Amino acid sequence: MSASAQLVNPEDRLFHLILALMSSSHGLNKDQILSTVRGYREDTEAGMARESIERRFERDKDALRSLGIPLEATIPPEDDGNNKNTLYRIPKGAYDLPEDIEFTARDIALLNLSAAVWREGTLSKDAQIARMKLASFGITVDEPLVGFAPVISTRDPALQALRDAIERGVRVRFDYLKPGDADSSKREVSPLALVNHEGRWHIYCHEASSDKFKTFLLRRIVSAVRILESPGVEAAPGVASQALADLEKLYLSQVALVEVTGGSDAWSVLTQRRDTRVEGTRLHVHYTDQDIFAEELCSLGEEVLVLEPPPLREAMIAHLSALRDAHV
Amino acid sequence: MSSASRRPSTTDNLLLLLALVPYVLDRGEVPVAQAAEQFGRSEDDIVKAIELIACAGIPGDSLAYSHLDLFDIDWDLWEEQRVITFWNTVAIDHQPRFSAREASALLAGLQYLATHPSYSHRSDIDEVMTKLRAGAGAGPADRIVVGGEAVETHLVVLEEALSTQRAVTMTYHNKRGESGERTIDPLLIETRDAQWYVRGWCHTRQALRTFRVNHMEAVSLSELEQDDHSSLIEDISTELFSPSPDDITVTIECSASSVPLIADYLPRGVIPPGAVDPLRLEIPFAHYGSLTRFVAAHPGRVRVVAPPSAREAVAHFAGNALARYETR
Repeated sequence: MSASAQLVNPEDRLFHLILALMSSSHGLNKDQILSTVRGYREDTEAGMARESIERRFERDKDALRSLGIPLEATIPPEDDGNNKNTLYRIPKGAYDLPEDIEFTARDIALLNLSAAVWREGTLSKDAQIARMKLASFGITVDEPLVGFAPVISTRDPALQALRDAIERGVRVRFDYLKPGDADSSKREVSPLALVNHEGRWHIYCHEASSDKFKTFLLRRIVSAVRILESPGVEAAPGVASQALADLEKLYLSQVALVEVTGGSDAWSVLTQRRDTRVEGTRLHVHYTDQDIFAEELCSLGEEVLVLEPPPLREAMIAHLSALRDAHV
Repeated sequence: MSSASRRPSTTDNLLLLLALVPYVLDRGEVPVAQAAEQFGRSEDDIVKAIELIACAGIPGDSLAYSHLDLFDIDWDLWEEQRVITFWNTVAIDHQPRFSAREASALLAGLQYLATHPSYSHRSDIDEVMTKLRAGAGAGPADRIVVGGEAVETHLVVLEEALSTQRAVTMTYHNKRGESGERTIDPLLIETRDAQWYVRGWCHTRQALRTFRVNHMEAVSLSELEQDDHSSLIEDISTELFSPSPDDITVTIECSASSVPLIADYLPRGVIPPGAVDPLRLEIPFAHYGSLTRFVAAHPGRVRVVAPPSAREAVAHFAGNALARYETR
């Protein structure tokens, strides 16, 4: 049966489903829901096929869960897995914000700004739900944090799948083009944390085949990310901060010596990188990945000459030669 | 918040119902217009939502809806003044928790804000993070992390100009490779990943322009007060750089697997789905300065096919950069 046959509009039905499941202390089984809750009852009484109503109930459950509503399903112990007796409920304690947590007007302003960081792309749905929840506080927010609009792009197609896999604690498979390599390789990993460093998204993982923890750049995942059913390696507490600290350590330990034309665009760009040290016309510039840094430097053209380290200098010569040869 | 241009979805409407109840309970009495502003929806939407809530409830013991199990509002107040106040509510009487997914987005956003010069000295970010962790739903809420890339020098001056409504002077290197003195009224500071931008009124060009902070040099606060640009702030579109009719269209070739690597540099919607390998794309560039930068940032992945003058520009750019290595 088509959706247009519904007698009660979907938000009305979902709202009533939430009210019913929150009010019931022991939970309601499917029969009780379909015969009493507004929306289902009307369709049941109108003689709609049971199968269609049940399918709608399945979709509604998914819809509530995707909004972060803690919908629980329990099978009473005396039943041997008969899903007719599964009891559904939304425990009020799991739904409500705990009583002892109070947000001030300033908190709300900060949280709104933090939600705005994700106004584009993959995390925007969660951010938007969060903003509606923030609006449900009847506090007058009189401290508008104007003039500053931070955005972190989450356009990497792999981000959503990796986030789902982290949440479910399962492994994933993808093709990865390692910086400096010409061809991609297949990887199977347990994703543990998403890390944005130097403006790039990384996924910190455990790789089963090498039994090593590795960091991959999302931009270089060149296939779709396939979510596997096999359980992943469990994450240690503080794994995300640790992964960020590791990348930061790498950034601080690797330094290039470059000669830069004074007053040039490259001079502006490189002196404003974090921790750059100026020594006359020479700059000591930090980087995380040699191949990626070489590509960044290439785009600055003749304003930059790499002096050290030798492998970076060689990479520059190789890249620039290839670039010239491909265009003559 | 839903934008006015998009028709609200079932999800938007359901979230509004769930948020309206605690909001009205917090405020006691709420005029429709105030709720419309709070939730970024039309007054009609609010009226529809209230009419739905006012008749909603749960099936009671008799499994039929009775008045004690229904929401109730002050109907006189509602009908005479369009002011909402609840006499009875069902199940929902408190703000909802943030789900682990929502909390993880907010936490990562806050962490990112904390790296910014104007927030790094504030202790309230830590406090709100603690509250958020304590009030989040079940699941991993700490697996996304964003490192900061802010270099304070210019930002401090720009922010002072913004808050004191003054102009700034600077040397700016534009994408054409030209440098010059500029005076601008900064109106908005934006970050996109590791990149910082300022939207401002350019005195030199007499127009609204976007400036990349790391291409600025010698930024200093001017004595000039900003003109009134309140009418312009509305015009600041979300696209940082908008296409212009003067753009030069360049044909480039790249392998299908490198498309994710260059996707951010392309105007949205430029990639034809399921195309052949290698791909040929037509991309507009404002001038050859930005073309050569783009191609040089992707050595070996992107090749200019046409027009011949664009190929020459890239070959020339690479040749000049390479010459610095050959003469040593």
